[in-house]
Amino acid sequence: MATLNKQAQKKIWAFLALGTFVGLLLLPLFLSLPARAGGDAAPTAAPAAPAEAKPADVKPVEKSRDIWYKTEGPVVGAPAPKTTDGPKDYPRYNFESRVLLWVANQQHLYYGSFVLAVPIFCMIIEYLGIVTKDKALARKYDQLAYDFIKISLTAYSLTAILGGILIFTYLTLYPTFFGYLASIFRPVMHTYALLFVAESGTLYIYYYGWDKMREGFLKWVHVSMSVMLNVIGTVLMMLANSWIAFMQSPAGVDDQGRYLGNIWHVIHTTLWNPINVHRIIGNMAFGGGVVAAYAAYRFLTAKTDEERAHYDWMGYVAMFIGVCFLIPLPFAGYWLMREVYAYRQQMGITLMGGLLAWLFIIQAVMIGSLFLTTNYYLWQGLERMRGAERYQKYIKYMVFVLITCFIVWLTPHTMVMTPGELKAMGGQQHPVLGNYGVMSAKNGAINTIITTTVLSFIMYQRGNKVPTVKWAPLGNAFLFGMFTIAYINIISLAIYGYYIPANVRVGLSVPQVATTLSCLFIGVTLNSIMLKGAKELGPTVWGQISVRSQYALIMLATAFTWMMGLMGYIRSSVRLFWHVNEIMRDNSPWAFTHTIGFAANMISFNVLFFWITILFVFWLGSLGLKKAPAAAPVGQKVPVPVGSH
Amino acid sequence: MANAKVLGGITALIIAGAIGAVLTILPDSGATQLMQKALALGWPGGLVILILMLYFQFGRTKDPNRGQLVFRSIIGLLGYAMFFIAIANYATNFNDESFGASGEPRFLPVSLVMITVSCFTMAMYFKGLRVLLQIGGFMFFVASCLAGFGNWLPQVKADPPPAEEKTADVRQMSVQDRADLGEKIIFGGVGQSGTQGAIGKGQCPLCHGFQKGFLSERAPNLFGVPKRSEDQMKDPRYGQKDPSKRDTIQKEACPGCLEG
Repeated sequence: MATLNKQAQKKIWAFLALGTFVGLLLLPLFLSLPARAGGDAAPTAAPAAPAEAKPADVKPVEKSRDIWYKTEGPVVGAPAPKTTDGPKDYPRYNFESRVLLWVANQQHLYYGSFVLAVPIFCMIIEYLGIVTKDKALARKYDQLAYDFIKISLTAYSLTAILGGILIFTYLTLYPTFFGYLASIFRPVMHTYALLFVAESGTLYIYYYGWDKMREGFLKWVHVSMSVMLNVIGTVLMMLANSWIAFMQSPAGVDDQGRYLGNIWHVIHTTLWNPINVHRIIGNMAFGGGVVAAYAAYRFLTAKTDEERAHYDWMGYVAMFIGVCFLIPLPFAGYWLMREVYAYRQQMGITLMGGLLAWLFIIQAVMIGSLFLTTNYYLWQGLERMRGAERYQKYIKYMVFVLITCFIVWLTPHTMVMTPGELKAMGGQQHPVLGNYGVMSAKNGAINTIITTTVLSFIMYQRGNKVPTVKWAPLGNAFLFGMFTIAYINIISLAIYGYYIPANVRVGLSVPQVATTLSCLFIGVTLNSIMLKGAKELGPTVWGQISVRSQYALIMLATAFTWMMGLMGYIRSSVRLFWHVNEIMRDNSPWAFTHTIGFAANMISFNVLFFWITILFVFWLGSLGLKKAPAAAPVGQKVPVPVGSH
Repeated sequence: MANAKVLGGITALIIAGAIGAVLTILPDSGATQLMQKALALGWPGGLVILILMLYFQFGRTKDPNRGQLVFRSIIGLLGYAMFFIAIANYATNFNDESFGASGEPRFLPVSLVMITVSCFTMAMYFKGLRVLLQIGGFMFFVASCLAGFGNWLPQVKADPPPAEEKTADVRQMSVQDRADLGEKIIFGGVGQSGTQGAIGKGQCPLCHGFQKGFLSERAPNLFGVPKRSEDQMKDPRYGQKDPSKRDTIQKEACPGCLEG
């Protein structure tokens, strides 16, 4: 009885502690809600008072119109400064200030994305560890989540340091612009700082409390803390996004850039939510890539079979998470682009059909190579399984389909040509290859690539298994039929697209995407159900995979990082010569847009700088590795991840 | 290991010979300047490796691994030299573009390729760092491919438009002044309408051509459009008498074709 009482008491205290903890974390948010820049409570109230009551010396409140929301509001801020090229507005070293800021921003963003994504993985994996009934597997998941957060902890310090460097770079090289931005986002910046403190506190408690909160109810408290950690992290990211969204599509200010007192309008600009969604998904894909690269590094340096098995499994899980988020990423990108077009058509044309259009060709190459690499990794993964040899013969056909689609996918629509070249070719488009540069061909190609990747994954799931459910022949026939119809549907719609008007053609992407997603969700789910209790042709031996597969993971990670740098550059440079679009002009000597080659060199530099530093972080992480991977039970080298095969 | 040693020794000799030949035969070439810059940047580290090599050779005469240590020092020196030539190439060709500094950013991916080669070469001989060097080399290789592709594509640099001017009240302006203002908005300056590629804040020439024979990449050339419109409207396919017979469908199978 006394024990029960003690347990009940413990639970109550745990609940109270958790409640207090959550309350403290949310406190800064509540405190910041009533805050408004410039303390505009009085000016807002003033117009309601009768005119006669006003003292003669009180100036009437000036009102102005919000450039985006078109609502009227009291002017509470100063106009956007008109800068001039000189040490006052643009102090500098003997170097391009924008490039310095570019490096500082990109590095902070890489680390920020990583430390925001990893706790989400930890949350999911730790939760899986709690609900998994298999004790050995549960320990494995717990160890994996702990490994993840440990890497994140060192990276977190670097993120904070890079954030400091970024602020100093802004203050010293772009003081006028930063001053204007800070004058508008004052309460948001303070909230950001407070949330950063909360994030740090939560992260440290979460990490250092891992062993103390290992069992029972305290484990649930621990997982709840990871939820809180992610909520704070996401809000942090969204607040930072509001600054860049404001620079691209300002709102809450008038046409002179004067703040109109509504902080929500300034935060909630038209591009804010599309950027938020795109970044959350992108961070997850990126985080998956980085963790997969870490696992590959540890696999390649592993001394024992157990270690190799553990990091092979870890790499697989991270790659799986990364690719799961890679698939919806283009759809989030479409939404963002649609909103960009809706906001300013000119901006959309500059991106997709003008100055920056060639950068999308690079992006196309990268997306194609990401899918190719993913497929390659899955095919290599078949080596782990006895009995998977029967699928090897299909790989060559899949390679053919993927390469063909990849070539179509990267064929440009038009080329920049001299008049002589144009005449020789007989027009802007090549008579044969030009047909593959249009949207009909692109949609067909990318959907075929994704569908083939899904097929590779299903093949991988089946590697060493034969379904034994009674309805297996029917299920197999259904899967075969579904994929056959999917390919026919995607390709025939792509061909049909050539013969119909543009406005109808745009609509064809919906059934094509729906076909691809159906294959993904129905195909993978049905296959997983069919494989319940399946006959195993042989064991899955984690760790028995080629070294090449690990380089595929590293390739994925490098490509993710490069693509992130590229897309960030595209999004930022579309403002052209504006600090804040159409509000505050960039009058520095660096207001021009760099060539694609220069941008590609800078992105490569940033990517390599990040990887050199993160390899250092990995090395630091390996120094403090006290615990060996949890021992696997006899007869099973490493537990099989849930739902993998 | 013996074969690797022979291979490494021959490679080191060939590279050293090539460097010596370039320095002697082409003392004013870009390659010589690059090597001189690399030497200026990285000589302290190079000196340390050289001292180490001499120490291994003459200070550890009884060490059975002496030959291996000296050999590794040579390989290290080679990798280090390549690394610093790559950095010198970056420093020379970075070109911030804003000051009109000389330099060719197109050559920067070459640096990444050099570092890749350096990493893989050293990975062959430094077992302790093999994985890190191989991973690093592979990443440099991927980055060099992507940067190289970016540099291979057509290069366009966009200058900002001229500084803003306060526009006078258009209602008070003469017809000529208004026409000039229009030309500035569309083409970026008075008298610029005859220049292919001239573009102003309005950005119309981004898609349209305005002079006879000008390229129009995305939309029709508007030269003589009033006259052309009158003529084209007479085409029976415009269905002046029966609007329901007009065909405005545009297909990717035959862009710009009208059926009929």
